[in-house]
Amino acid sequence: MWYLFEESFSNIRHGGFVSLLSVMIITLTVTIGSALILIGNYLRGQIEDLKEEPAIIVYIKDSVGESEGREFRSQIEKIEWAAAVTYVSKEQALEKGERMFGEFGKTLTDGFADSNPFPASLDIYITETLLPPEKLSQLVTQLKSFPQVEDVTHEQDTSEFIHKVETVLLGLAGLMGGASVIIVCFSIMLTAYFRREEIRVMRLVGATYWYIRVPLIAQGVFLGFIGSLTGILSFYTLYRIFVPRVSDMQFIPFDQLGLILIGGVLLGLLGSIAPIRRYVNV
Amino acid sequence: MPRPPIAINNFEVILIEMIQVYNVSMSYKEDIEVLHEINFEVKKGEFVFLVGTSGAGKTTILRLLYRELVPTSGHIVLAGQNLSQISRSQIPYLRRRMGVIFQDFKLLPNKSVQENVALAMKVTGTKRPQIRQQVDQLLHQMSLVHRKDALPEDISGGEQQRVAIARAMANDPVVLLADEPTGNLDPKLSLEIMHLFESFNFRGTTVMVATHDLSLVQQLGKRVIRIEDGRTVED
Repeated sequence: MWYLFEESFSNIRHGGFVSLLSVMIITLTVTIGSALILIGNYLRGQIEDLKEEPAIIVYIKDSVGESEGREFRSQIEKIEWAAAVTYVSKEQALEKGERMFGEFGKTLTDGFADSNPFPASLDIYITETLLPPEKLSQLVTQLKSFPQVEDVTHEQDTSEFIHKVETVLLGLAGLMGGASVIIVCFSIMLTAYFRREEIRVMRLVGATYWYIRVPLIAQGVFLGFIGSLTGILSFYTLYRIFVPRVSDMQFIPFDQLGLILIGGVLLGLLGSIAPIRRYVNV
Repeated sequence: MPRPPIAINNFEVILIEMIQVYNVSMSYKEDIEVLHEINFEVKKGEFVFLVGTSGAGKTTILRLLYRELVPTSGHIVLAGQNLSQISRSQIPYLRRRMGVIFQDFKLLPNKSVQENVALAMKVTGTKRPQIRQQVDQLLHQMSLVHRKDALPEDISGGEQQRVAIARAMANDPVVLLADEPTGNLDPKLSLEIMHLFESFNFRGTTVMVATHDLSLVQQLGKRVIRIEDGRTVED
């Protein structure tokens, strides 16, 4: 065990700049990964809020009567993804408007006593938390084709934005992860190259393949650990500086921080599986 | 043509032959043959000189014996193990039973004298107190106690040679292979080194020394295997 620590630290020390570069790149990956998780958590919170609201609102023409409107509701309910459909009459819409405008609500609705401008609507709650944007557009087009329909509004922009952000962040995290593995791999290969004479002598006096390999793997794991720890600390600092100014986002919970740490260690471990066989095969 | 015996592992006590080389040929490239059908046997506890001019093939024979190279054809049996048949993972265990003194010593420049000697034991997983005890004993035997913390570059050629010998003897090997161990030493020091080998041999270690120093060989009066142009010309 002592040998393992001794050799790993000696390797890291001899690695110099490349070891530092490995730690820096893992730090950067973990920082970006943490940002992704933080934004992911925030988006999930937003999606939960969206769930409470109808995803699609179908406004019904004033010419369509209440019984006809309720019949239309049963028709819509049969559509795939429509988890629940609520009929909101013109009167209910007016009440809703009154509530929405708070203290001015009463004044507003009094003015509409004779002619209620609020249309009746169908509030559609969809089965999927977030429908793919193209499916949502398809559904909206389908709804607009009904003769009873005046207009349709939906959460397309929000869902599209969330999808795009998630894709970009995932792509970025993937790229950074790949770069980390390559840099750590390079660091281990360089260590094996610099120590090739020592490795050769060790082999000639009876060292096994794994006796040489294990400290190099430990080196990768250690670089991963230090990198992810530094990454988490850097991200926490950035969070404390910037986030309270723009949002009320909560910091990443401890269980997720543990997973980030394990992720960083895994990146180091993956990088340590460097092709060093040619230096060891003596 | 003699046939190689069946390899017998872990029955060293009944072995009479420690090294058996059967029709061994070796080519580094297809058209350049370095060794041509070499045959010899070395008995357990024997002291043998492998002599020949530079480039005769002495170093290649030693490299084949510690399995750094594999012969193009033929068989080598060492301490009951057929070296052509052992797997890559078995090689370290074979080498732990041998002591090798390389022509260029192969000492690690960034490790002290005692660390270099300890290396051979460290790689076998020997416990620290045992390593310390054995290293102290070897350094004392080689008169290197006062140099134990020095780096190889800070000691003389003769001292470096003795460090290499101490490292080779650290695991109490059954076979000691030395490649030109007196290459850069004066005759007096060379003889001292040979007497050291004799003392190891007296304690039961089979010793094979590759050298081109014929005067030294004559002084000791041991068995000689002469190699010329990759062939055995005298045994």
